[in-house]
Amino acid sequence: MATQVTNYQCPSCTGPLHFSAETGKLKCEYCGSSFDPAEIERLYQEKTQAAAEADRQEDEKPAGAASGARAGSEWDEAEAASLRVYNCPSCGAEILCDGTTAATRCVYCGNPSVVPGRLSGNLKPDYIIPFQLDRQAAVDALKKHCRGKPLLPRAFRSQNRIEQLQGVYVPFWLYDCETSGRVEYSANTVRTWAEGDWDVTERTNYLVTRGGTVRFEQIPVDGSTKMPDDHMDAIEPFDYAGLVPFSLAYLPGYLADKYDVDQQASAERARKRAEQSASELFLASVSGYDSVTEKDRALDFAQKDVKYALLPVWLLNTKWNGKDYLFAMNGQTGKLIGDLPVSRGLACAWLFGIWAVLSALAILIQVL
Amino acid sequence: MKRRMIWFLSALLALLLLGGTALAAGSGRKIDLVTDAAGLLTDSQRAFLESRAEKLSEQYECDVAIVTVDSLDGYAAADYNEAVYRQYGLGWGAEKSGVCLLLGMENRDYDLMAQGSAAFTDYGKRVLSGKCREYFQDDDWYGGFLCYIDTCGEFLQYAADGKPVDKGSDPYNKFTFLDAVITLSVCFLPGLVTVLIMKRRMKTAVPQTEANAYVAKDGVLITETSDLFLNTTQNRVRRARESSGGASADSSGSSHESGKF
Repeated sequence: MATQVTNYQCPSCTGPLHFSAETGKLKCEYCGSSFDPAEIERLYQEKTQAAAEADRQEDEKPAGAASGARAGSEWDEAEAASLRVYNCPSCGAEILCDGTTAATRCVYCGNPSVVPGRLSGNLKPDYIIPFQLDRQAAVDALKKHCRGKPLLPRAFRSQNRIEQLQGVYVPFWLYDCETSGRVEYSANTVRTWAEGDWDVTERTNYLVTRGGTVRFEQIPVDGSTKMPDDHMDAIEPFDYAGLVPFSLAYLPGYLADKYDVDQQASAERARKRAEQSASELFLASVSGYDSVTEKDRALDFAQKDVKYALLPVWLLNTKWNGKDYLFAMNGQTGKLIGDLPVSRGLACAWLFGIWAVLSALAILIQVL
Repeated sequence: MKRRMIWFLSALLALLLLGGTALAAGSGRKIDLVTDAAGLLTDSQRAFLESRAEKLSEQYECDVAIVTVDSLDGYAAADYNEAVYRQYGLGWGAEKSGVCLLLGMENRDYDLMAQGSAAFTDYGKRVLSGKCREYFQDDDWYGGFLCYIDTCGEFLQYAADGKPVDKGSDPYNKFTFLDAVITLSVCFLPGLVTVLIMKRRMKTAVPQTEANAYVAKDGVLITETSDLFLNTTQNRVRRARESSGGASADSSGSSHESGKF
């Protein structure tokens, strides 16, 4: 069953509109007009409602009304539950995507489209940080990322091709929370002095306790199983001054997903980070000792408020030697991360090169 | 003037401590080459060492002397040794060539003084004193003095052959197979650490373990602060005897290697 999707068309020429990270406006590639997202949002509110109504009516049709003899095998239940079919409003082609896709691009005509219902109602994000860096910035950042890496295979640098480059609005939960409790530390001071022929070491041991509360604001945790957690963590931080109330008008031109890990499930990651930080902050208040070791920790995590936000991420996929490499760039700050391949040959060359030079110098010094 | 006074007093003190002196032939010295005022040696040991020192001194025309005293009476070992050397006419020829090892037993001080011979470079004196100290630290006085006299003989022979023991021509510091193994093993570590650091820089997708960047303004409130004293422990370790030495030279043309054993 196909569902109607919305794409933002230019009010002047009906060409598709894309959100421009550079200007922060929706731009028509055909007539060059630019529009404020809020203005376009108003114009298309009615259209979105109409699409939702059409979707509802389609769903009410008797089962099998639209079905007929089909080639190919049947989707199994799990696959069918996760797949959605939409009609591209530009060329009419059917777009197949999973149940979490909120914004996509038609594979036939390239028209950017927003899937209705994915980011509305209870699923509507509170905030969004619009993309501020374009795809060229992502390409440049990857090149820069590869510089100054002596163990990077030369062939990766020269033959590496970006297979896929996508701007994605990733769903994040932003937790306002509080961690309170107490942490116990074993601490000691060490004093040494000489007494005749004896060296005396005196160690004084203390039990140090610090307790209190640490408040956190908007700890981000990505709510998408599609996104590797380590990649999403590593591109932090986002500048929250760039948060604006959510509007669908920011989505055209980019992919967007709705969350598939809810706020309760994601809260565990926020809790662990908050507790670790609280422990470190308490530890920072312990001074005057020669060594301090954490002994016991009793901390409570209290979730105060949660916001749902879409944050901009450029994802770059490359393939080298049959292996996929994923890089992620913060679409707001430009911070790019991703693991690079290591050349065993270069690693050995460096290891044995340094060894040979140092050994030669050391032997020369000893012999002379 | 003051320095001369010190020398005079120290020499007088040494005279009293050393007791009877002997006029020896050859170098014009007024004491034996092995003068054991501290009583570390038996008569036979002293006589044996004396004969070996005598033989070396005549062969190379360079006095190889040993002096032991109970106390330096507050003087620096180098000053004391210098005073003894001058006062008792140690040394051969116009340059007063010789080498003298002084042990002050009260504070386990030593001084090795050399004059007029190219055989005893600063580096050589360090090697010589290092070899002897190993015996002295075990209170093996006879072994140490024997080692001293024999090593002096070797030093004098190396110098006679035109290759005095010095940095760069040290026959005692042969580069052994064990040295090579240790050197290669130690030099492997910096390379390994460097490559591991380089490899770590290739991995940037790492999860966050803390949330320090998201602590609210004035969000840290510490309400409980307790520092409870538990106990005190004391550990006493007997200090290893100092064995380091230092080299010095003075205007009289002699040079010293001093320290403790």
